[in-house]
Amino acid sequence: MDINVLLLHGSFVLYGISVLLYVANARLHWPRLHQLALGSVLVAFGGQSLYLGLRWFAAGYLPVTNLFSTMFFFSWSLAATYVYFEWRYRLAGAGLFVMLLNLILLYIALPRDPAIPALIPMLDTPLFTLHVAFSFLGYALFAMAFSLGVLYLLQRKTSALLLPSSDMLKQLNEEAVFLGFCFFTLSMLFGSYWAYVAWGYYFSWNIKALWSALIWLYFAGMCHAKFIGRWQGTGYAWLSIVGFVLVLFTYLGIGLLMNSNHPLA
Amino acid sequence: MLRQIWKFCCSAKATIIFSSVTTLVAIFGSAQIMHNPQLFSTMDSKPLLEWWNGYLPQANVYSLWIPLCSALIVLLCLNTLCCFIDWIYHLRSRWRKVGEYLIHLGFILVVIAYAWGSIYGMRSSNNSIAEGELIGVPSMSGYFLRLNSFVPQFAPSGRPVDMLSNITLLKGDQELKTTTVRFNHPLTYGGLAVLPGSYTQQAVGFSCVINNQQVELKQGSTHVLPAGAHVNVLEFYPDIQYAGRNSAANMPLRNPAFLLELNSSAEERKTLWYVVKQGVPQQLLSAGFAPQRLTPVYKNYSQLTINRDPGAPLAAAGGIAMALGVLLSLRSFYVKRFRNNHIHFHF
Repeated sequence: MDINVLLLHGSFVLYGISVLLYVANARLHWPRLHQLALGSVLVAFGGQSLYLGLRWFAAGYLPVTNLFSTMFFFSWSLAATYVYFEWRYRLAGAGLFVMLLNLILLYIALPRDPAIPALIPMLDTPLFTLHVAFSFLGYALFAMAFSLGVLYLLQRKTSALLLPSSDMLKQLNEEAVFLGFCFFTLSMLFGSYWAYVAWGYYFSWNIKALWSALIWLYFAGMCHAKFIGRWQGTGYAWLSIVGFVLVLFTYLGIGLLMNSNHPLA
Repeated sequence: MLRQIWKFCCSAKATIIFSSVTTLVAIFGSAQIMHNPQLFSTMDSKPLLEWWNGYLPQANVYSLWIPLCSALIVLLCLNTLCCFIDWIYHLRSRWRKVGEYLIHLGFILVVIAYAWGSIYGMRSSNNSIAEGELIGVPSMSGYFLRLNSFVPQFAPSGRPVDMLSNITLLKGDQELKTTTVRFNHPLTYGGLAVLPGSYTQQAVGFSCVINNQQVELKQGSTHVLPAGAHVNVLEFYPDIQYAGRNSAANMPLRNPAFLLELNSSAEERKTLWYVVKQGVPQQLLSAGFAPQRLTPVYKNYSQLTINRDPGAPLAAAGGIAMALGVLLSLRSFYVKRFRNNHIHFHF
């Protein structure tokens, strides 16, 4: 069996197993199950990283030029984000929701053509790699904020023992939004510089660029909202959920439903 | 009262209000762009103000999102500026927030730069120029571009890969900058950016055999005939329909024609048309001018995009301030997290 197929499908199966283990842990409350689930996630993430590395090496550029490769990279970024939060804060049962989201992303990506297309000359620049990599890291952190927002609302309703406390979820949500905003800002800066050297202007009025600017504004607003009492906690959780809907629309909706002359639409 | 107004101008509440409303207006705007592509697809071809002036006769109530969005961005920029001034005023107690406020400063600079470029900028595409030729930089009198060499690059499959134009920017006779422009590598000078757009080929004459000699018939060439007479090529037109007009790129080779001067002796000069499809005129044939095996000779024209955005250097400064701000914010965020240690870290 081809190593690429093995790594891709193996990672998918392992993420699936981790979701099952998280579900079992939610029912049975065995700490060992959480460790096993986390172990599966780490092995799957390692496999995904290796697959990404092999494809990068084979293509000679970061392969993020079609829907399969961008969904795969989004899934990899989300897994990396989850590993970071788990490593720092022990998210416990919160992993179930994030890994389920990751599994859905991979499930949508798997049937698509994984062939690496020839790179068009305009994309042959490190600015493209930096723009896309930071963009998807930002998206992944906004997805993480969305997950933490949903879990916060759930925790407020159920006070589940398995989930981190409301205060911790609130703080982690703010951190995810802040980090996402930072990475997304870098993505916008590299994208603008690339647009300038490629087309001679740093802001294009195509729908994707407009929605990206809109996402930046939205999350800039969110970075301020955490200082306002009434928007803290529940309000912030809802804002994270709405923000992720905007992100999903910018990433998938524009490409599938609208015409945009953005190079990656 | 004034203090309260100032407090609101600096407040995060004002930021949230302006950013939220701008977001909603931009969502509405994106729907307009999608539903009216014939109106909005040209927005990138000109600076915003020039585009808006041209678009105004077709504008309707739904087009108001553009001025509304611009006004909201200006308000957000003013709010950010007030916030930044307030921070400077309280710098001694708030210096740890330098990263966040560099992002604020960057945003202000970028908005000012974009407004400046939208009002005083210039965008021009498809500026055709052949090797050795000189063209004026649009809307910059006294500035010229010279194409020193042009090499289109192709993949083995024949797919165009790049276009390498070695160009020199001149101010009068003074050379300011020479660069080989290709994809993602423009010539930049101040706010000027010269980029490869496309390229085209223009027929400039014919290669042929005259009296068993391979020659090129093109403007300026002279051909000595057996009887001692000679023929000067005064003009060449790829299509006689365009005779008299300045030769320009993109003229298709439909009905090519030469304007020739036949010099039989020092005193006798005749100007004759040689329309290739109609054959050589009798007078030229009699003088021994009988070109055979004609194949067109083409010249490459680089089609350059020339944009000028006086705000671009300021926008670059804003971008650097923002990037620096992001890095400092990340640093101060983690320093704060480690100091306060609100959450138990697991390493």
